[in-house]
Amino acid sequence: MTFSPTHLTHLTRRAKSSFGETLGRPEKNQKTLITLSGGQDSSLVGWVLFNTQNYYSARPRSLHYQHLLQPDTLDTKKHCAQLSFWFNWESLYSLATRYYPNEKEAGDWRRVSSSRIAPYYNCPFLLKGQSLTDQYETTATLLLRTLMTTSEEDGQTQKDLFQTEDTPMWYNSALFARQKKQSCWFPGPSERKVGGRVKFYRGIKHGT
Amino acid sequence: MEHKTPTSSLFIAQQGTPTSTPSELHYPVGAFYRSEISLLQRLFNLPLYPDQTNVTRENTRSQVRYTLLPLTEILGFGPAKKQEQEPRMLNQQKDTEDARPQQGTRPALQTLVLATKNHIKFELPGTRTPNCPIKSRELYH
Repeated sequence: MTFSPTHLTHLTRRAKSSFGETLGRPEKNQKTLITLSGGQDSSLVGWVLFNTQNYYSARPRSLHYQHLLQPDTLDTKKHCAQLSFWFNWESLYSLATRYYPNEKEAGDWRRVSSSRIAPYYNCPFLLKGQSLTDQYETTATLLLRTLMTTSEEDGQTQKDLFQTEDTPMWYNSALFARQKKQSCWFPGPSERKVGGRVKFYRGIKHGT
Repeated sequence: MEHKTPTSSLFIAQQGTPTSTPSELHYPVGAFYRSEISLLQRLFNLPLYPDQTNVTRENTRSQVRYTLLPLTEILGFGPAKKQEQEPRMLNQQKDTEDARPQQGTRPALQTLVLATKNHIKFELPGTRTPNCPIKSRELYH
């Protein structure tokens, strides 16, 4: 996508209205919780809040969700901690205590957790970095999920068009080198057989 | 040595009495497309840590992001169609490998739909290998 001066002017105008409506909503020193993922959306929200703190004087805190599904889990957490440190914010972390097998369950966990964590820390405002493209994708994904639902009416089972929910989030990436152990939820190749039989760990395995 | 309690509560999460009122949910960058946010990120030189789940085409969101939405843009929907006709202004990365085809040379809609018994995958031309890696330029486009 290319950008022109008129497009930049339009972008600035939209930024003023959007940030004014959302970031100007909290009153002075009112607590605000911001979900940080380390990506560009949430980082931009944090950057704008940091640079306009004299104008929008909210008291932000960052909240980072970690599913413990990636081998670079701690690196992501470290990045968000550094961002919060640079912004001089308190940082909260929410770690998954069970394995979420697909996107939908992980998203539901984040949604429910944020709706419970924000009132717990007395934060009446919850800011999320979700772009317009993300909203389009969410709409399309919801439409796909609705279309692919298996129905068992009239004694006939209609099969899904394609499997949307069984694709694991920890699938092998071609760009990044993976460790042997995919995540803490799955045993590595050396610890699969314990006592002559396969052992599955449920929940957090301590001592690893 | 005398123990001193910390005078500042900075970086220490101190929870208070939980409120029963639900918090207001806001999306400050909800009015911008991903490419615009990427432009702002490059302008401000913000540090990023990309999520690894965004670089595969395995999960549903990635399939929608990298196959379905580009298909709708090719079909004439979406915002990128209008902005392509405007001249370039900023110095963008010019990778010969990642360079997108110019207007007019864009290939026609050649969508390969692999349909199996209960499995359908959308693939763009040139990506016959399933689950091919996402190019770096596509990540935040």
